[in-house]
Amino acid sequence: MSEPALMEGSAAIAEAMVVAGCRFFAGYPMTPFTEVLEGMAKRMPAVGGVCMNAESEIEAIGMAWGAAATGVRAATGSTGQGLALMQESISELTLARVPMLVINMARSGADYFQATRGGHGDSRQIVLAPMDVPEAVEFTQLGLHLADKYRNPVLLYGDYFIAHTYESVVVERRDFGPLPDKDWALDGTSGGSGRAKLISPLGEVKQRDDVGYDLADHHAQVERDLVAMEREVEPLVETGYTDDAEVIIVAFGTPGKFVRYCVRELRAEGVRVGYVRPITLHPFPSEAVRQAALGAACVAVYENSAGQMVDDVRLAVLGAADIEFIGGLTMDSSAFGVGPEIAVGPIRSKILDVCRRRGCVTEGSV
Amino acid sequence: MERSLMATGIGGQGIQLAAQVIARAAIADGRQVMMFGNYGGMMRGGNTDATLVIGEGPIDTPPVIAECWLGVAMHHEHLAPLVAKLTPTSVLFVNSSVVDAAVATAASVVPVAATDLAVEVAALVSASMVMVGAVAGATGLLSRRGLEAGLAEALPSYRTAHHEINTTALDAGFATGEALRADHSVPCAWEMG
Repeated sequence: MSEPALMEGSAAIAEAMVVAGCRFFAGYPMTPFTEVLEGMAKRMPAVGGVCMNAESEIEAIGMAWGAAATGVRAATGSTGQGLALMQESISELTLARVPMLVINMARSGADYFQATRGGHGDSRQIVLAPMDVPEAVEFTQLGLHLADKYRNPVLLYGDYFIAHTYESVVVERRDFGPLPDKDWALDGTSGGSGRAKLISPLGEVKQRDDVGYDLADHHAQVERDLVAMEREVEPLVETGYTDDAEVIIVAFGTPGKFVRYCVRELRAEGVRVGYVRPITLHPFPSEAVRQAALGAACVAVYENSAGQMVDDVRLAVLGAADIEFIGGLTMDSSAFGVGPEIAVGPIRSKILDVCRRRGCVTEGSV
Repeated sequence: MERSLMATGIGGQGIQLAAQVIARAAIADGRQVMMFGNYGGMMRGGNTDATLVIGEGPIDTPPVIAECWLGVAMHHEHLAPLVAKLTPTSVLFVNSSVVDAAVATAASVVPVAATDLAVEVAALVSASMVMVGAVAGATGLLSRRGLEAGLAEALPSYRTAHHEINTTALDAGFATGEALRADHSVPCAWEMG
């Protein structure tokens, strides 16, 4: 499909998984993730794949784990609430070194801690946060690629807007470069080793009388791989007007698109404000945030939550500028994260308020 | 350049279909689109609105639009969210067959007897298509060919029997719009290339 078509975000994400070669999907319905599951249920049979409506989120990620262990591209997802149930499996998938795309169609921006710090042990996952449907299409494919590249789950952090907004998009297969062979995939053979292959959080060698599991070895190896992954993955970030800005606004996901729009408007009115939009929430683009902060008096963080990413901004800025939190949880009556404050007017007011207090607004200009 | 639109009415008037037709017509015209539909659980008679942003390139406007360049009021019920997004430079197309009182707004108001015209040339249910045609004919927002393509794509397979009445309604609306263009000072959507 190389011609642009009008697609709802959920259907576009499903189509992006299809063109990227994902052939197994499982999930349990929960708005606004439900339509992604429906999209995959419609598309998987036609391309020879399987989509399962599981009995629970825990069961869904277990199914996807089994499929991924055979080498097929697999994905699952839910909202943050459902991902909480999947959390044990996500961490264990890291230990078992199983690639998977896990989609959080979140009910606000308040799953940041879960996305970047969730789970047990030392497990870490790359987290991609698109701001709109075209980016969701790209990062869905990038997520499946990075999962295979690092043999680790990748999280895609969307929201109600991305799930339900229709946009004109081109969904076509993206090539992100070569990937290692999946010689570890379970295919019924021993792979020439003389031993059965094993995909398990306990290691890749079956327990034998003379060897046994050595979890110390296994954990150390997984840790080395994670450290290598974090060193190698280039954080993705979008910045604008940061060079001479006195106030920098940091926001991710859909709120990041609102902030970018407001900052552009205010710049056109002569306010010296810039923005940084982290795209990979993990690894966090600390260097870009710090560089933007160096010449600024204040870095203000907008999130649709009580303030979570603001911690990573503090760690990135390390005292080089003042930090303010200007966001807050804004909810609709169904708690889907689309409250009245997620709008250009209120966000613009909050940004303008910081800029006034920091003296970068010439009165009468706005 | 991006043009933002909002259409409101009551469930059953075809607001969501109209939005689908506009969005797909704009894509057929080679433009990019963002669309967000909003409606309550009550299918008939309840609140329903749709916002659209049409642009020459990737859409910069976030999914909740702050103001609209053009508004469409198909019914006086549930009109407040639209009126709130109108500015003095906006233009508001009003379904004068139904809307029962003058809309309090500083925007320019263009009355179109969409429901009456729909009943006359096609069918009552096609009033929203008359209005889409009128908006396109008056402002040049969408081409006549784009509208044809948009309608063909937007109608679900179980409604293809209604393709003809919808086309008739679009045509009648488009002609009305072109006449309005001569009479009223309606703005032009795109600079002529």
